[in-house]
Amino acid sequence: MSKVIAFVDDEQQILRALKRLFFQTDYTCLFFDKGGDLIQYLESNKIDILVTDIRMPEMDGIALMHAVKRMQPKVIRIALSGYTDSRQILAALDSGLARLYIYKPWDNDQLLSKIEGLIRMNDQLADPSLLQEINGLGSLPTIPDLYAKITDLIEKEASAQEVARLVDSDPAIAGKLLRIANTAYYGLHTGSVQQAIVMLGMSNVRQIILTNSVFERAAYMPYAKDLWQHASLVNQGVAYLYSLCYGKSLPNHQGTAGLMHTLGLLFLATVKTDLYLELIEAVEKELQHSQTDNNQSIFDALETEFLPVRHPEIGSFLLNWWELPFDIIEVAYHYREPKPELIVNKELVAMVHLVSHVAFGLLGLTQFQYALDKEFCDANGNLTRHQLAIEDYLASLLTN
Amino acid sequence: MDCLEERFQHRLALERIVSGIARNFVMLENPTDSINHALEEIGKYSRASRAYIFEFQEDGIFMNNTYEWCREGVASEMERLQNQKINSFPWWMAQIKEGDILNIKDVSKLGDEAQAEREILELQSVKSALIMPLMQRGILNGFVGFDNVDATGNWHDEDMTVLSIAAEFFSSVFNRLSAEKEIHNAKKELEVSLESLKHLQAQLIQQEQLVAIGQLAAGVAHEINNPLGFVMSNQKTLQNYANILKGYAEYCLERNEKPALSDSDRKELTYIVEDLDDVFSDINEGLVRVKKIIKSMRIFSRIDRMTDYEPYDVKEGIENTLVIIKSRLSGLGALKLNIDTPIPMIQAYGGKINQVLLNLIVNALDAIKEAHPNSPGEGCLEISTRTKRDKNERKIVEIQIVDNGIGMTDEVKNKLFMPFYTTKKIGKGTGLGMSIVYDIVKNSHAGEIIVESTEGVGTSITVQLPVNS
Ligand SMILES: Nc1ncnc2c1ncn2[C@@H]1O[C@H](COP(=O)(O)OP(=O)(O)OP(=O)(O)O)[C@@H](O)[C@H]1O
Ligand SMILES: [Mg+2]
Repeated sequence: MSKVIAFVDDEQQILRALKRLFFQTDYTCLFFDKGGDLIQYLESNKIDILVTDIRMPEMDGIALMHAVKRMQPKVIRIALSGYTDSRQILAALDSGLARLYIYKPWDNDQLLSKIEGLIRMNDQLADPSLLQEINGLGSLPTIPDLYAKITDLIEKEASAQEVARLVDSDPAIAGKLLRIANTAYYGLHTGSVQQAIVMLGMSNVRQIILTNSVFERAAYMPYAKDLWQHASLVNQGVAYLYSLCYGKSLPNHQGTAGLMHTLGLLFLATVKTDLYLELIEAVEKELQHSQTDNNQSIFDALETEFLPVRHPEIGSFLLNWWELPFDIIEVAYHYREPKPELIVNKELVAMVHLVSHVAFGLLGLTQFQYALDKEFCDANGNLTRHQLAIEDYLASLLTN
Repeated sequence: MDCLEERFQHRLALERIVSGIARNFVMLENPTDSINHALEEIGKYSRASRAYIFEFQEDGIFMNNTYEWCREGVASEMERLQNQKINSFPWWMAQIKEGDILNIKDVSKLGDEAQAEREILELQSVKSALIMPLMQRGILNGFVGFDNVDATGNWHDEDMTVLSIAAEFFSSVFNRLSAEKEIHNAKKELEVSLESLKHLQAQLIQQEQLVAIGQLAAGVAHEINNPLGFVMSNQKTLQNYANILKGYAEYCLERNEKPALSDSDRKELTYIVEDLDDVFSDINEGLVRVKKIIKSMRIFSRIDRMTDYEPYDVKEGIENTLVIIKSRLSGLGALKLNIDTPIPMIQAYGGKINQVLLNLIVNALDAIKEAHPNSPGEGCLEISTRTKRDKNERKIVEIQIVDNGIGMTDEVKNKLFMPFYTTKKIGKGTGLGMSIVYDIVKNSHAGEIIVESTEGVGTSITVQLPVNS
């Protein structure tokens, strides 16, 4: 059955251009020049994807996405707007209201491949056999109450001060946030929650609170500390590599890609501790036998044997369930064995792929190591020339 | 008797001198002269060889010889006596610390406790000396001294009362001098901070303009990105169409026959052929739109129109301003334009008038947004122009901007034109908009601004600009 995409824009010419673009595709496309018309349509019909302009008379795109989310929560919501730095749109992205934000003017091929990628990822994560395995894992980490409240505030474009007040109301979380901000991830030096929020960005604060709920449960698992340190290093390393490559800082909504990419691993360690320990033991045994140059993906080969579901899948499933930005989900899914034809944001995946590999090596976590795909790294940002710089940078973070 | 008479005369002379000094000090027209004169008078009177004043430095560690009078034939010491340690005369200081006068009748008779002082004074062949403390707010802050190299015991005990009065006069004159210095310094500081404040304000005004331009740029980018979006997409589509059509054309050219079409081929071709005219007209319309926006922007932001008086078309100005903020107008319930044509051209700084219009319209839109946050459709903005004569019979053009926003409280109305007064969120408004409007209309164009506003109902702002400023 072909996917149904609804396009909403107050400009007929935009709708016509999109119609031409999607004419030869397999999607069923609907076009509305008023959000209200789509709402009416949804009363008795289903759609899979919404692509909407933001600034429109009467009902604007933000209100429309809210309404669609309420009526059919599974619809993938995408913003298509000419504003490049509107706080409103960034807030929508940060809060998970929009999964993707595409700028006008768009590139026809890119628009198609982005939508395709999003749908494919969504299908993979909604695959019945995966769902069944995940159901078998028992309870999923629930979303902390605080997280929902913060999401709410971000959607309302609240100030850092207001968010700080909320975070401060939970001293345990406030303390953790400061600890994370000051040491583990970002190397700031502050005692003020508000300052930490300003420096980290609200979306990252929200995501840190979220990850914390997973890390929290995994805290006493073997290797939990090491994986935490690894995620921290990768997060900083990716930010560093991004600035090396592109001369500017990592976009805010990609700011926790490194932090999140091994989330599935930690989650499996908590819900399937026995299997996880057996897996690591097996990997270690194999490593001793084979004396490889730590460039082998022994872990990946054995993971499918020991665990009902692979960690990239469960990780990205969780991130998707929590409505994190698409880029971050994609990284969690593809960071170990990137398949270029399946990836939308290849540059980001390539960066995490490289930095995570370097960090596993540096920390001596050979159990979790995977093979580096140099070709992929070079095809997407010419990255391997920075490998030494990344090693030095991460090593300097470790000695500090 | 003689002796008594003499001493009486002596005392009288001293009193006369002191009252003369006092008169001089009270006037204090030329403080340096008055002080030097006082030193000389008392010095001569007491047949001193040297009279001098030391003032303590602010650090309380060093002191400087700041005034001096020397008898004829006595060499000046002032230059040498700078940055002297205060505590090198511990006994001396202890004596005058409480404000008492120290009368050293015979230097050679100073005890061991004053050894340091004795050695220094004897080194300069001083036989007797009189020291008057300079007190500031009860604290020793320097002293006046008279050295005598000729005789011992020049001062009599009964002179002390008069001398203590003289000492007080000295103290008070120095107090006044330091107070004046403080005032002078404070004034200087104030001037400096006033200067930097002015500088800051100028900077802020410039920044405000930059912010406004930045907001404009974002709005304009949006305005351009929309048509650009469909133009670029259509252009790619057109390329795609052309490739398909080229395929058929090549087939015909090569084989000199029509291709046999499958159903789906036919469907595709029909679609393309029917769509072609629309693609071209969409592309064309988009480009025309971009061109119009860019033209308005160029006119709007022409820098030369900031500094030159020249004919300005109010109607065109309003239209250009509206194009620039078009993105903020969408969603408005009603935008009414009552432009009473023909409006005479006015002599004006065009760029500045555009700024006035922009600020007023943005304020009106903000007020509307605040009044109808969830139902922008209820917002109404009305812009009218008319030509008339003001009370001085000058011919003027009136621009009135009416909104049905939140309106203003009395407090807002009172503070409206104050720089930095804003009721908007931090980061949203700088509160300079209306002060800039005021400056441009009143000062640069000799115009008037009339504000009418009712809280909860709306606001009308009328700008009157003389046709010939
Ligand atoms: N049309 C209006 N309706 C209601 N209130 C207004 C209107 N215009 C101005 N005000 C009030 O006057 C205040 C000062 O306006 P002004 O334009 O000087 O600054 P601002 O709009 O707050 O900030 P800025 O223009 O510097 O971005 C505003 O904050 C608002 O409270
Ligand atoms: Mg304003």
